[in-house]
Amino acid sequence: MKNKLLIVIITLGVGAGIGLGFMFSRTHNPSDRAMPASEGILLSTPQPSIAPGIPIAIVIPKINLHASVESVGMDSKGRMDVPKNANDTAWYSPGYKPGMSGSAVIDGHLDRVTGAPAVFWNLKFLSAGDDIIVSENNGLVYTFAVNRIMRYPYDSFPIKEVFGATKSPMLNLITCNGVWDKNSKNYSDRLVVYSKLISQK
Amino acid sequence: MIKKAVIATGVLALSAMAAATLTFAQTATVAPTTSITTVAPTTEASAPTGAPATGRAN
Repeated sequence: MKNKLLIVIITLGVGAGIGLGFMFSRTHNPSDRAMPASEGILLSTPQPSIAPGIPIAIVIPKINLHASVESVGMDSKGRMDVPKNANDTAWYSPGYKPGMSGSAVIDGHLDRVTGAPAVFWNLKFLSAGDDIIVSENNGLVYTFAVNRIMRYPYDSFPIKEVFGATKSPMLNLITCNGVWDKNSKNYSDRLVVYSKLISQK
Repeated sequence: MIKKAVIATGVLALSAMAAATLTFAQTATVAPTTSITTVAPTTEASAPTGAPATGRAN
C-alpha cells in the first residue's frame, strides 16, 4: 500500500513540474510574442498620398508652346529616342522623372522633313529665368526655371551632364541645332536647355 | 517513508521547473527569425549612349 502511494505521489509531482515548466515555456516563446509597434512600422510600406505619375504635358509660355509628352526609351543605336509625332515632346522614361532629384530629360524635334518647324523650333529663344511647366497624369504640376542654354557638337554630347544625377530636381530639354548633313541625315549640334525646379503644385 | 517520498517528489518537481526556466532563459535571448529586407534605392538612372536624333521628323 505504501509503495503504491509512493508511486502515485512521485508521478503526480513529476507531472506537475513538467506541466508547469511546459506552460511557462509556451507562454514565453520568443517566436510567439507580439511584434513591437516599432517593428510593425518598419515593415509596413509607406502609403504615398498621391500616386506616382508620369509627365503628359509641357507648357513654355515664353515661346507659346503647349505640347503633349510621350514616354520613350532608347532607339536601336542606344540613343535617347524621339517622339513619334513632330508636334509632341518625349520624356526619357528610363531616366529621372521631372520633380525628383536628378536630371529629367525631354526632347523634341527641331523641324520636319519638309523643313517646316517642329515642336522645339523656338527653343533657342529661351533665356535664363523663363518658365517651363510640366504636368503629370496624377494632377501634379512642376514649374522649372531656365538656368542656361548650351550648344554641343553631336559627337561630344555630355551624356552624364545632361542625363546624370543631381542633388536638386532638374529638367533638361534637347533639340537639334547647327547644320543639317544630308549624308548622315543628322544635325551637327544639339541645343540643351537646363532648368531647375522652382515650384510644385 | 512517505515523508522521504514527498521530499523527493518536491525536489523532482523543482528540478523540472528549473530546467524549464533555464530553457526559456536561453531561447528568450535568441534573435527573432523575422528579417527586414531593405532594397537600396537606385542612385543613378540608366542613361543612353548618345544624343537623340531630333532633326527632320517624318
